[in-house]
Amino acid sequence: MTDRALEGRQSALDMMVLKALSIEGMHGWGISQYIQRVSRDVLQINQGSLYPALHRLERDGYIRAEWRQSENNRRARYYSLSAGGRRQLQAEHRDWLAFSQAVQRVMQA
Amino acid sequence: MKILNALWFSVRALFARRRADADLDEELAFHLEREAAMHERDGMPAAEARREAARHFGGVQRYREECRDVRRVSWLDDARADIRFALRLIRLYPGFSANIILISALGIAACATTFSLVSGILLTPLPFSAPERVYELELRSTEGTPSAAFPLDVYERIAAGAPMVEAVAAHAPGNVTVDWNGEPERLRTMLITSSYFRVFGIAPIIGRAFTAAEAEQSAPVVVLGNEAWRSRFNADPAIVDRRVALDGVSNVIIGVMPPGFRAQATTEPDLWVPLRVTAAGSRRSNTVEADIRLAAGVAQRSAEAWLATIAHAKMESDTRTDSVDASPSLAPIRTLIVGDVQRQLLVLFAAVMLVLLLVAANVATMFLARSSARERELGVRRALGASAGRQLRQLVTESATLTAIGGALGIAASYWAVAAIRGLGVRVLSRMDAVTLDWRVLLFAVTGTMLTGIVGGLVPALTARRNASDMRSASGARVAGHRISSVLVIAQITLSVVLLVGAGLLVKGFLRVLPSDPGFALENRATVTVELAALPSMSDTNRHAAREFAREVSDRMRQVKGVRDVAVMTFLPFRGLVSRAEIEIPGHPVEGKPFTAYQNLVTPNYFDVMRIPLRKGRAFTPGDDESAERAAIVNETAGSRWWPGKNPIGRQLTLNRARGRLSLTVVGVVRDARLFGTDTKLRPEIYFPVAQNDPRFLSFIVHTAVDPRLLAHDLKRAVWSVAPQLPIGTTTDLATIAFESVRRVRFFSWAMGVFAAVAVALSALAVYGLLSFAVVQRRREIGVRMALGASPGLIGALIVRRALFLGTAGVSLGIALARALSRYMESLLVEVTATDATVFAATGVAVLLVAVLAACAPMYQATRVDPVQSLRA
Repeated sequence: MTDRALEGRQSALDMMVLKALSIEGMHGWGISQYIQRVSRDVLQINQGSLYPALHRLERDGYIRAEWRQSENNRRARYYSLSAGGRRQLQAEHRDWLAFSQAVQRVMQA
Repeated sequence: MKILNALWFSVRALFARRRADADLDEELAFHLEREAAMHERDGMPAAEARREAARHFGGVQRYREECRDVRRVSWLDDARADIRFALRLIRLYPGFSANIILISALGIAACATTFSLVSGILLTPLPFSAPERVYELELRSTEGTPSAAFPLDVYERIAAGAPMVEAVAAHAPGNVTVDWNGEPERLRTMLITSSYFRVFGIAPIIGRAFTAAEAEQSAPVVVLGNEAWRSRFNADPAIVDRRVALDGVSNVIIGVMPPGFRAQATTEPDLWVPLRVTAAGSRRSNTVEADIRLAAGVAQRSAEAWLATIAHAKMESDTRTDSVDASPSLAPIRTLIVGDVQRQLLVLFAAVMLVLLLVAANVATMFLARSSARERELGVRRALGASAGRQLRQLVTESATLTAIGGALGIAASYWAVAAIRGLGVRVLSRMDAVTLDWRVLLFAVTGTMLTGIVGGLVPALTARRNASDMRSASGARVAGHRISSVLVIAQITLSVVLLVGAGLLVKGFLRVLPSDPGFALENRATVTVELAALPSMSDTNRHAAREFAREVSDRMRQVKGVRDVAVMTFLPFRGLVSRAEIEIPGHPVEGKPFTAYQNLVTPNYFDVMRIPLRKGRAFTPGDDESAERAAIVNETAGSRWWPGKNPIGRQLTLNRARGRLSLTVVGVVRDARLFGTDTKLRPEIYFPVAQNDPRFLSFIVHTAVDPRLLAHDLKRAVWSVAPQLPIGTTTDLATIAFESVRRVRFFSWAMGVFAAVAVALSALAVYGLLSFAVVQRRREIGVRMALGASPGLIGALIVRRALFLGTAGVSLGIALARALSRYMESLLVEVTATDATVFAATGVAVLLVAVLAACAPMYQATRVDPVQSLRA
């Protein structure tokens, strides 16, 4: 896959992860379940691709991570949104809306 | 912000790599467990649930790698891997690696050491505050020659205060006799006003400076020079309030100067004493030597302009001064201290840069040779996905690692080399105390090493990239690599020729300058100089005291065991102290214009003792005394200039003296003796008998049968047996004086010589390396040739031919380049032109020879190739 196409896929995923974390802090599995549920099972992302995305977002400072006890008493890495992440989410959402509207206009012409 | 975050993330990841890996595994395991648990709840059996979870996840390994990729600090991680690989390569190619390390060490050591000279002398700030504001006051006459004798009244006007001036002080060099338990010694002093400390912005490290009151009263206080404190007082920390007798007067020591401080004196003064500057003038003269510190922000020009206005106002109203045409000027203290070595040092620095370039070229050649042998390995790497940029980084890291090791060794070696240079140069150049391996030198050395490594690795890496990334075209790539290597080797030979020519010119000039035959004897001639002004019997009533003293001391000295004869002269050769006589020749074609000659008062046996042969007439005899007619002896040059074509014996000449004119008869002509110049210019010299004059300076020349240095003490005692407590200036010998006089030229010749040697060595290594590698690579080809009937001799000839080609190309280019550049060195050369054919020719031949010699080992290697073996490989 070329770099640009990958970028498009990645940014959509990143955006959704940020959105999920804006609701509440959760671990990786929780995020994948959330996206699946809320998208009504339409989006069946490869769950594995979530983790590189999470690492990227952490590297860029948009989310923070810490180890906590999960519901079933196992140690899990919980992620939360940072202030920068919140701003990034808004920006990306704006861009995405603009993008999809533009595509819509082209298709309806 | 994002970048900072990323950096922090990566740095953390770098150091906690293993833990991060474990964390990631745990995180992924957690995910899979939860997913499997979910499927189990939906009724799947455990094993199937796990499979389903794995399937939904996608390749676990793949995502694990991707996460690692995100975490990875590409360049740092890669660098670590590259360095590890480079170290492994060192083990695999020990000879090659040792070669490169040696080359870098040699080059960096030479460069760092030389740069320490440049840095210490030119770059290190002077040891007093804001030195750019400190100047020496001078009087510049209309002819432009500056004089440090500054009018006293102008000085006092400035001292009274002015907005532009922060402080002004006067100084005067002097001498004083100190008695160390019966042995008098003459020490150097510097008399200074109390404001001197403020002008230079220094303070004594122990004790205090003098106050203005103490200077006013010429109080018996003294500040010790740091060196004197160490050598004569054993660096006694309780030195303050100790007493020392100067010229018989007891003085109190009130402080010690900081180390290395000597302002603009050529050698560090032993004692600093207060100077009283009065309207009557200091030391019975109406001029002072003065220094000034300008206020912050004042430009030199504005200060000079202001000085000019006061000076003219003062000088016009003062009828005593007769040089109204002179104007005050400021000489930056830096120029006076550093001296005129700037140009020489810059030439040395240029040489340093050339050597660095050479080292880089050398390293590049070596790596080029090696990478062409590794074409296959590099091809495999490319096939496995290494990007071109990544390969570049790898090759550069390899070369940088090797040069770094070499550089580190070189820097360590230069630590000793700098100490050695400091010892050698300490009396040659000023500010040698500032020559150390300080941060500037280290920075230069480290940067040089890095650049060499990077450039050295870049060239082969870039060449490798340009070639097809196809393993089949390896041989094509090899040829192209070989061409670039040849270019690099030729470049190195060129550079070393340039350096060698430079060194050769300097050395040749130096050899010419060295007074190997100055026209008089140098060996076994001790010299003892005395300060006649301190002779107690000298006074206005006894004008002949000097003569009698000289005679008595000569007699006593002759009684010392080992002394053959003793003569007397007034000015020792090579000391730079000369006395010029103004001579008029009555009846000379060019009437009216006086001649100048170097003059000396000598005893009759002087020409014998100095072994200056008599050409015509006679030497002085004891009969040439006050009652006889005034005699003079001239040298051949004077004879031929003043009476061209005629016999000078018996002719008259007139000596113009302040006390009146004197008519003398020439009684003898002697051979030219180069007493006063370090070059071969012929100068007229004239001698007068001591018995007919009253010398004010005296030096005894003692012809010894043994090493003159052994008799120094006995000779001094002979002097003191006639005049106890008389201060003796210096006791040395003519050979040493001659040696010292050319020390500066010798120092620079030596330095350049070392460079040239390093350069030639590097070039030889380069030629050897290149040819040797070529032999290894072309083994198959050589095997084929041999199998087809070529004799080992023929193969050897091939190698030599290649070496000759490289050598000739390099030498021709080198000579051309040296020719173009040598004129920049012209100002440094004495006695030799910048286009001296012998030097150029000799250099060319020598380097060519070296190139051919360097080919010997590869040649031998080539003839030893076993055709059967190489064809089978």
